[in-house]
Amino acid sequence: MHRSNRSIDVPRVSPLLAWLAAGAIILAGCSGAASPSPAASAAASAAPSVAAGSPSPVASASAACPIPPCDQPIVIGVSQALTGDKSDPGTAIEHGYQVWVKEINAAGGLLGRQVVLKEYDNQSLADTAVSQIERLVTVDKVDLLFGPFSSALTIPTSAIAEKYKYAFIEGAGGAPGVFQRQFHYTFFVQPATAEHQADPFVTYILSLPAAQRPKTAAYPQQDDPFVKATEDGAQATLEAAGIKTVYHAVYPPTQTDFASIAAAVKASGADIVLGGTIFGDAVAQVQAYASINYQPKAIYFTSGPSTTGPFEQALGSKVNGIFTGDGWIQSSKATGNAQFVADYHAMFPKEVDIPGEAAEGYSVGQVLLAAVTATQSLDNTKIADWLHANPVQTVQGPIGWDSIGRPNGSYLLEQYQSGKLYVVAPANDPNKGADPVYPKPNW
Amino acid sequence: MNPELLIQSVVLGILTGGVYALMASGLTLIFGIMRVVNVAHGAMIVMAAYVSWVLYKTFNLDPIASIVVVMPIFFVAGALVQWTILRRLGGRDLTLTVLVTFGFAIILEGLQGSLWSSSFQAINTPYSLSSFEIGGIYVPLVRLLAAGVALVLLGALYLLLARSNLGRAIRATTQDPRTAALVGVNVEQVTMLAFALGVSMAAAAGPLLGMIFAFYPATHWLWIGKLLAIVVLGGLGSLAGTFVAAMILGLAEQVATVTVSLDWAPMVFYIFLFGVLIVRPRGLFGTTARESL
Repeated sequence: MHRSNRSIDVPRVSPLLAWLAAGAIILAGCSGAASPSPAASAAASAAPSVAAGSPSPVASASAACPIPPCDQPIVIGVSQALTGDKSDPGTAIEHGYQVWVKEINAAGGLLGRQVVLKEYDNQSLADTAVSQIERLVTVDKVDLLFGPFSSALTIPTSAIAEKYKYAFIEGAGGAPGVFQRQFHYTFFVQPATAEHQADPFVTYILSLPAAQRPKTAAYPQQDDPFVKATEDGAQATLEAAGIKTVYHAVYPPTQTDFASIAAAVKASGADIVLGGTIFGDAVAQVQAYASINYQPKAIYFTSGPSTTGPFEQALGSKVNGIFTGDGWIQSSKATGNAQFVADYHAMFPKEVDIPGEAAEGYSVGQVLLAAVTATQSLDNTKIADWLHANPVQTVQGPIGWDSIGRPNGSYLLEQYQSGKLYVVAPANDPNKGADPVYPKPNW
Repeated sequence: MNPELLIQSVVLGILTGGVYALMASGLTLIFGIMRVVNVAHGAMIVMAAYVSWVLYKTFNLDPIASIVVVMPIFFVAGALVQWTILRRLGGRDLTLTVLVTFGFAIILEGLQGSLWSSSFQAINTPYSLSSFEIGGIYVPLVRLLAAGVALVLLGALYLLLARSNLGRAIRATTQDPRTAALVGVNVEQVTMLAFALGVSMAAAAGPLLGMIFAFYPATHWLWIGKLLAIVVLGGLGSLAGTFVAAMILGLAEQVATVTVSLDWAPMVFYIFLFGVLIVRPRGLFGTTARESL
């Protein structure tokens, strides 16, 4: 009796649940990093948040308000990576938007009307971002749009903006995939596109005397369009110059264990590392290298070091010697930067170090302000046409765009020294604050 | 292939496998007694990692020492959840219980996100990046400590199940709840205690996870996927099987990282899982699961 009961029970229940488990795993795999976060959903379904400044719209129409209804705010729609794996830089961009909105409202608004951001959290998920942009345009009927963090989210969302002919001014989508479709309405607000981000680093490495110049390089990189463009560009140039690739591997955005990767990079004997990173993976790479005492002569990360505060908090003195490429530095002498820094600190007093992405977000606002003011219009086509023809002064310096929204400048080489991020190249840049240090001090 | 690198990855694989075994032990224990896959197990581990992280930041309490604090808290919380919610679903459709634990996972993830944001976190102690070298092979101190702690806790769990009255009652209930009840086991109470024990094993694994891997609220989906692969490979309900499977998968993952490719490393879990489901649906230790637990 007992035996027969078990023989029925065990084989039937176990495979059934095993398959159930398999189903759960597939489900988990599909949602993966991608998991739905209830907090995020709640935020997404909540009423639009008034980002900053006075929530009450200006009371009356005036000559300074050419586009009625003057008692209604201008609404700018945003789908941002506020949670998920891109949340650190995504939140930083959002802070940049908010500082700009507060400033513009304090100065009387845009075309005399107050500005509010209607923001949704896309949880760092491309599909969610797409449906949110679709909703912002068709249901919420926002006046204007700002872009999300990262190329991975900008590539799909910019197609929606293009479809509805909305100017898509974005501070963090510079991968080739953003521009391949030759959109008219997308404008990338950084000095140059992703494939050129590591150019200043590559130029610097190749400028070293032959005896010092590294002979081998490793390219551990996240599976991300921006990262791929930057890394491929740098790798091609370095290889052409004779710097051999000894390690190249792509890991998923959800990778959290870097021990074996670090061991493999170390075993490759690479002189320098070009880490294709977003944020958390840059931190984890440094920790993994340090824990096995791998001391590259130079290390460059595509993204991560520019999110200054969280990066320094995570790594402490291990930041020293790390290179990155960016268009902005907190001490920048660019027009308007001092005001941005002051306003940022007033709004986010805890953040002593302002992340580079915040400056990118703020620049997006500056670009919109210039275009709307010049055209005296909220017509997205007029705004896009104007931006194709006119450069704009931003805290990242002047930025102008070609016919498909690619900026035409170049990046700065930045390096952490004594716990602070400095512009170290090009030599003639007015913001250069230190000379590059090579080889890197040990972790 | 560089032999030193291969040995390095084997060392990392063994140490990581030990921690995986601790993470999965509670899951297999809960399955054994309740026949329910606790989908929230990964979220519970991540929750314990957060609690340990907070204790370290606020009171400078060492994450390994914090295990002593988080285990009883999670034990009580697990007992409460089982007694007040899961017990009421007992005897009904098992999938309902799975759905409830799925709901717990989502609630825990949301709670973590609202309390601590969704940024990457890690418990960085002064010794976090220390390691020692033996013949060119680096042994990260944190992984060694974590594997050691995992082994001690798994040994204690094994002894508890094998030697104590509670353990005997749990094993009896796992084998056949009706007969266990007939010989005087309070099945409801034992089930509650076993669930609480499983949750406290998750709690013990949390601080270790927090020291080794970066974590954020959504990471539990990745973990529950890996842990289910481990317990299915080991044979659902078998503690010994879980240990062996965790070692195999931990090793396979690290070795694949350095020998095959990074893309394939995470896939190793699922390749093993599908292979086992096709060839041996009960898992490695499935047939002896009920007795050996």
